[in-house]
Amino acid sequence: MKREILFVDDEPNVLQGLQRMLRPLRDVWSVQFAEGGAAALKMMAEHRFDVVVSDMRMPGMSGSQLLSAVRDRHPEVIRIILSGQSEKEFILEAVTAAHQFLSKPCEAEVIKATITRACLLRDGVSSPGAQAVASSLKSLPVNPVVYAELCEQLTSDGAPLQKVGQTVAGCLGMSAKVLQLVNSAFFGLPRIVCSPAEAVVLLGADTMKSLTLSCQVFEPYAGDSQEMAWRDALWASSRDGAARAEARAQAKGLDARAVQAAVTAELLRDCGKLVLASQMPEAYAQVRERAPLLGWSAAEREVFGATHGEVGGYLLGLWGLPPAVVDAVIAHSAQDALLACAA
Amino acid sequence: MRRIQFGDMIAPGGVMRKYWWGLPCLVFLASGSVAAGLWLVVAHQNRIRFADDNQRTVVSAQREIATRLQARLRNFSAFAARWEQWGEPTSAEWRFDARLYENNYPECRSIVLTDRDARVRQSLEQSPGSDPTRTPGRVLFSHLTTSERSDLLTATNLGTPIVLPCREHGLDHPSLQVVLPLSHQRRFEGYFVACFDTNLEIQSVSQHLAPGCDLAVYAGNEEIFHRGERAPTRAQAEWMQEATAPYGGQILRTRLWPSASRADAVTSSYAPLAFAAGAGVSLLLAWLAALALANRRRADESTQTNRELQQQIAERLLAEEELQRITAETEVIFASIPSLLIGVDSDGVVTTWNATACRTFGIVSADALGEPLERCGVSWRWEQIAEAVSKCREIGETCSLEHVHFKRVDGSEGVLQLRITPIQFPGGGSHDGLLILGTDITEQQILETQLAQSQKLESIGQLAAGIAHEINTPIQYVGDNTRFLGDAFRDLKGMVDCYEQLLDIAETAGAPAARLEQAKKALADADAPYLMMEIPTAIAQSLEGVERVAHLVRAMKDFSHPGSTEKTPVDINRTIDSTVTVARNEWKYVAEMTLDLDPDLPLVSCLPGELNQVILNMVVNAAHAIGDVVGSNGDKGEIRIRTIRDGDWVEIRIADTGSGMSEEVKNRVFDPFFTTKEVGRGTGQGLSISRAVIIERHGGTINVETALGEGTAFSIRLPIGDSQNHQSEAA
Repeated sequence: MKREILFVDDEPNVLQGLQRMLRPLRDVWSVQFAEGGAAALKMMAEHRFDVVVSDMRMPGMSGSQLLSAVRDRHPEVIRIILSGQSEKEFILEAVTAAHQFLSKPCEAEVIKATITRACLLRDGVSSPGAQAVASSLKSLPVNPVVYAELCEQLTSDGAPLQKVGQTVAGCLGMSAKVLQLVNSAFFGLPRIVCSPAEAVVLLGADTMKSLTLSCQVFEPYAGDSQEMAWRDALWASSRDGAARAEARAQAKGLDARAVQAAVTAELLRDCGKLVLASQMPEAYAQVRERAPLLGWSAAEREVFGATHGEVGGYLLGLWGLPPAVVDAVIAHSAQDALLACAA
Repeated sequence: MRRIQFGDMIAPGGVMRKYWWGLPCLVFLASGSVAAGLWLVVAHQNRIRFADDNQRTVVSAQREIATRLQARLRNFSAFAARWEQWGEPTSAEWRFDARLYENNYPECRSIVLTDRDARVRQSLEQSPGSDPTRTPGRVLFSHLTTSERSDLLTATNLGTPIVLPCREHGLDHPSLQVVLPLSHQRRFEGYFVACFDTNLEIQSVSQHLAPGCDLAVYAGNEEIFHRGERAPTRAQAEWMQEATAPYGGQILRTRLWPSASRADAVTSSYAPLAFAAGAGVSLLLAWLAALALANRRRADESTQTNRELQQQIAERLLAEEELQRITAETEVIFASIPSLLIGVDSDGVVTTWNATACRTFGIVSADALGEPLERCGVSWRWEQIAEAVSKCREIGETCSLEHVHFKRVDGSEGVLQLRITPIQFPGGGSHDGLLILGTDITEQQILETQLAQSQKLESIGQLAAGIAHEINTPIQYVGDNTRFLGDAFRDLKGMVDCYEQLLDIAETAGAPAARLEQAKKALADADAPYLMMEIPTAIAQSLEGVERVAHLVRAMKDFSHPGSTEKTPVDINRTIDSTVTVARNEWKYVAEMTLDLDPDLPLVSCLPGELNQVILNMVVNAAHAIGDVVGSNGDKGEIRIRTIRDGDWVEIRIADTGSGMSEEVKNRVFDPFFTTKEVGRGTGQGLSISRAVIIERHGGTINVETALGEGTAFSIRLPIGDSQNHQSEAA
């Protein structure tokens, strides 16, 4: 089945250029073009698309408005920004609407690779419902304690950025988001960043303040106490897991980057659980009941048709996190499943 | 207000000294007046006594005279009484009596008996011929006045004697006649008339009376006797005394006055003396009054003056205090003016040299004051100053010199802003001095340059962001289309290859020759082999060009990096790459750029914009240094930029194969405003700013190694800082 891809741009030359460039993929991709947000939404209402790639600045409806609308109407669609804008304000505006950011000029291979990888990850998630759950997520719920600490550090001048970084690294929701941002093409970093602390330093205090205080990208979780206790346990275990992974990786004598990838993978290991739990709390309550009996992954598969590893990996992949981390998260889930089978 | 000389007021007796003649005059006049007064008292006593004497004299004289005359009258009365009793005497008796009278009264001129009608019956002439009217038969009393006639009639009726003036006795002076009415047995019978020479009579009586006095006797209004001067002088009249006594119906008045010599003696010196004394006293009084008035006025004046003076003194004291305060304040202000202030008089000699000038030039005011301006020891561009000074003197208005470079004591250079103003000192003259007011604007200049640069960068950054978007969009589709052309050409080439093979097969298979020729010609016309070879190259080069533009835009964005005012982790290698790309135009004609960048360089915490600026400065300086050597001969030097990690530091070394620097230049290369470049090419601030950025803002070091003719290498060392901590933590 061909991937259905929609490109949106107010410049027809760009659209035609893309069309010509993507011609070699005509066998696997069915590419369509829309000159503006309204036209794009109309087309999407009539036709199912897998991926939407939109310019940021367009007359009428901006890229972030379009993608927000798409997120609400067609949650399963993968949303990508392709823009020549470089101001941080634009990216922050679109940070909850778009999964990934590409910057013009963008080489054909990058576009192809990004779309292909996102589609493949989605294919990894067996249930369409779970796909939609992951792709419609704005951001992961964050630990309220950590969030309060972060706010305090950012509002009080003089808190060193490293301290902020460590705080962020204590929460998997925040970590995932800063890694998404820092690895996006807008920051144009030549290297892949695996460490949330490093990501914070690279983003800088201004961006962190905008993200946290003005854009309010992070949503601290505020639920009932039972749910809260479970989440606290999850956050704690992810932190502990990260610490253990660090010790283990260093013992193995891996280089710094590999160590960091391992730590981050361990930290984000259970992000799928949070995704499912926050998007479908009732269903996930069933999972929690059955998990002690079946194991987490099996229980999730029974309820959702997909495991938290698949969903988490898909989400992280959609957000453009380093493949090493994404793969590790998916692998962990698989391992978990194997263990469950063995048990 | 009237100005009063201070000395006049203070010297004692000022008023008295002005009236110095007053005192002897006062003494003289006082003693004179006292003497005159005493004398006057004595004289007055004398006069009173004199007057009294005169009075007594005249009274006694009068009494004598009256007594004599009364006695005679009594004698004649006795004759009348006899007649009454006895009637007319006989001749013999008459003769006897007459003889008696003649003897007793020699002064008697005549004695006459008349009848009732006053006709002379008998007369007895004492001195015959003297009175022709006494001849018998004549009627007497014809010369009497009316009042005398009535008096006579009354006396006749009463039978009392009466004395009447006699005007017919032939004397040249008045005389008196005694008339006795005679009656017998109550019948009037005639008169007894005796005429006397009264003058002679009184003369005999008064011969011994009132010696030393003049005497006059009057009967009624007639003067009947006179002794001495005929009329009294004024002095004599003053002393005149009078006494009266009745005499037979007449009033005898006796007047007496001292003789002229005596009267003069009493009166003569008295009047002038009295006048002199009076005048003296008046003068004295007048003088005293004048003096009193003058003193009073003086006193008033001096009180007023004193008051004014005190007020003036108080005012002056206040003014002096105020002046001192102002002077002190002015000095303080003067000393604390942050601008340097040099005053020059009309001869160009320094008259003012404030504290700031001392500090700025390191020349104490004692050395500068009194020297001509040109020799005061300041090292700045004198021709510039002299020109401004002469212009200022010429037009008489303030001249401004905006950027005057000068050398400090320590040899470093500074920049002054000067204002030269012509001043007029009080007392006239035209532009007789100059005031040079200078502000050390070195710091300001540096800041301005930095600000201008950062503003430039900021606006470049904003522009770059906008332009980037504008350029990136067309690049997107230029790139897309070129790639499409590449893909399409590959596909077409495959197709053309197929067709060529088909053409070969068709030739061997015996296709129509004309068609074959046509196809071959078309291939040859299109120069197919060339196209097949060149089109991929053209596409590859176009893609490379697109890639270069994209790189440049990215570098521009990176370089301008708007808005980052805080230290952020920076990839030094990328910074260098961006800067070199942006500054490519500066170096590519004179040098090859060799980048030897350590790929494992950690991120360094720094201010990206300022670091970019430093590296740009270094690259541009290196290019200029090489440009000086290679000139325009087409040779190229080399700029080599190397980065290495050295422990906790990152070192950036920028070396060129340029002209190098002398030791002297090397020592001053980081001084502000020091430049060896021609005017307009360098501000002389690039390296000084770079030094400030590296050392002050980043805590790093900057060193220069150079050899004349071989080249220069700048080594910048930056602490890895916070990022490094993080890295080691992560490691």
